[in-house]
Amino acid sequence: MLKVNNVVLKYDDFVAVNDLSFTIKPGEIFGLLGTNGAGKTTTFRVIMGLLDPSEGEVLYFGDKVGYHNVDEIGYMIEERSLLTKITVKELLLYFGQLKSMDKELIIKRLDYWLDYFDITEYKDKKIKELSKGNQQKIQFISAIINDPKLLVLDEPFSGLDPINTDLFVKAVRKFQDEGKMIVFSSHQLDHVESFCERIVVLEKGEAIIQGDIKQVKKDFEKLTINIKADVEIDKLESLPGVYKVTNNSDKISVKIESDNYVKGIFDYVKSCENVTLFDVEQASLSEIFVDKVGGKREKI
Amino acid sequence: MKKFKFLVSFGLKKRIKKKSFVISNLIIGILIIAIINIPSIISIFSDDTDEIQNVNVTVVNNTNDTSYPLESNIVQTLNQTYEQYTFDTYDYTYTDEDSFWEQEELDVLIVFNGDLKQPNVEIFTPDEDVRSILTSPIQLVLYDYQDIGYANYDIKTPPTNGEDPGLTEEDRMFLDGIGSLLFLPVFFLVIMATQFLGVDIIEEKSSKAIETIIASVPAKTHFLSKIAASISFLIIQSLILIGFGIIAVLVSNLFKSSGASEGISLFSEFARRLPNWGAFLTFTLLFMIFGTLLFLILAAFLASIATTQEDYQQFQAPLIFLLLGSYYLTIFLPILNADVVLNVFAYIPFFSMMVAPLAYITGNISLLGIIISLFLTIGTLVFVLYIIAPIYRVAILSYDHTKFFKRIKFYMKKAFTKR
Repeated sequence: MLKVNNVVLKYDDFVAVNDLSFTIKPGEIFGLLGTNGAGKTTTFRVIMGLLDPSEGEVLYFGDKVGYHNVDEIGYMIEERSLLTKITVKELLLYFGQLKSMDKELIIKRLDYWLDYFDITEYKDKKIKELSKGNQQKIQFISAIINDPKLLVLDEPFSGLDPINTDLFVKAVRKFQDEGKMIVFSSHQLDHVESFCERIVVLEKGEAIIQGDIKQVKKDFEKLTINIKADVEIDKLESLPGVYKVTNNSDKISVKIESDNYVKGIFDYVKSCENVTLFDVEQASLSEIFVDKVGGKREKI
Repeated sequence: MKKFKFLVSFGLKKRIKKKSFVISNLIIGILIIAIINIPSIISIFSDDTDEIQNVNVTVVNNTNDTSYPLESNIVQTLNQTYEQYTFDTYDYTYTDEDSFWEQEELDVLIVFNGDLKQPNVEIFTPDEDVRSILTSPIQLVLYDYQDIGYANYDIKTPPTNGEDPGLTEEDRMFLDGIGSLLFLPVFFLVIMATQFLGVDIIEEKSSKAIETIIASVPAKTHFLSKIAASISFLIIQSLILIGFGIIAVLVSNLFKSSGASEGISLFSEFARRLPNWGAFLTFTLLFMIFGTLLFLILAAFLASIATTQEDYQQFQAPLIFLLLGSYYLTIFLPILNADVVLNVFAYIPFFSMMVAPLAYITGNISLLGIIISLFLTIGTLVFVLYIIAPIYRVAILSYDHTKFFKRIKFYMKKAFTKR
């Protein structure tokens, strides 16, 4: 179990992370969201023990993260961080041995993952000869080569095409099935929504949304109603609880403050002709994110 | 410790298992062997008649038998024995030893005293080569006279300078000329080691691979392992160069035994001219190791505060100037006879790496002086390590782009302020 307890990280007067707390259980995938500069990477650095928190602590199975237990953790940083002048095999032998692994085991696991990502032919190629996507795969392999109990992934899907993204997702799921803890950040909220159970959304170092995704969505009262009917847009906009109406090519999307206003809108649509669609849906994570982060920024 | 050893061996293999390392060493090896044996090689191809040296000889017979033609017999025997010399009798009036050393026309003065059947023979000559070949022909001449009996030989050497007893003016001139050559390998080795270290660190930092590495090993281990790998590389490279030197000496001996030449080599010249050659070599090696460590720590520090390769190239300029400066001092200070300046720089860490051994071999500082200088270097090394290691820990993961001194100030503040 990984526990982040009331972590604060300050640089002089600047607060990079403010009173952040969350827990990750074995077999859980945890999402850390936020805009650029929100404090995600700083949080990961604190988890990895690369930065000492000004206040609070990070506990890995009840113990502080340090060089005595770091071999059980895999870390993939946001930017490509590979030594480009050496071969894939040399690089993985280097990173693997830094995790106290035997050469034979490194090669065995490297062969497995190269085969999994269908890039076995690049084993003896220099990193600089690889495409960006393949470099991303190698970086991912370097993070998981030690079969970590805790996997920290900072933007693992950036720069990947949908097919490779799917391969990454499956690999992460495999670790989840084996009872490993995974914490990752991403700008691609659809990925977060698809396989995270719990999230923290950071903005300016503070957690502005936190908890179970389903609950977060439930707590977010605003809804979207999709309509296909001969309605008058002006009339819709004037109805109580409606704060935004978007006329799309195939449907009209109506944003409302809460489900208290659904009935009023339904009554109006019922009076219109050619009604083929009236669908009430919860806000997506993306909408919640934009709403909360946007609101926070306006306040600032 | 396991990770430290791994990092050192990884860094070392990265340099040694390169084709460029093998090829450059092959070239260097050939050059060393050739340069050291240049005099022997030249002597093979040169015309022997060019080398014939004229030697003026005066023999003073103060023995009980002045009728025996000692001078003509000795000169005749010398000419018959040594083809590379032409010995001529020279008219010289011997008064005292000092007046002989002050004059320049007469090359060899031989004075016979006592009983000619077992005389006391004084041999005066400033030429070391000639000095070593005179006794045998003289004894041959005496055998003709006395049947059997061995003379008492007293071979005189020029008086030494009181301030510099171990080194003659000629030796000193030899050193002036050869100083730059002596420290050239040291200079290149240190440049190579600091370059390798800096480029290695900045390569890991600029590619952000450093985060993955520091997530696995402490920054301090990384810092020390890089320095250990570089100094190990330097020692290996030095051993290879010494190996080439030994081969060169063996080749020189080969020339000697084949009779192709007199087997002259630069090494034998050094050994002959410099009486404390062994101590000099030992101190040069010690200064090279500790001095290089000092430069390596600085290089690691500069690489850690740089964020890109370009940054590092710019930051390392003072370091290169410092190295170049100390190398130039070893060339120009002896030529300019700036003994006071040489004395001062011999005690200043960074400069002392090359200047101190030179000051010692030229007699400017004593054995105690060079030991003090060495301890000053080691003390500075420990101090610099104590200051830089915490800064390295902070700087290696930081990508601050502010100006050089502002950056250093920021890292120092972070390194020495408890959060």
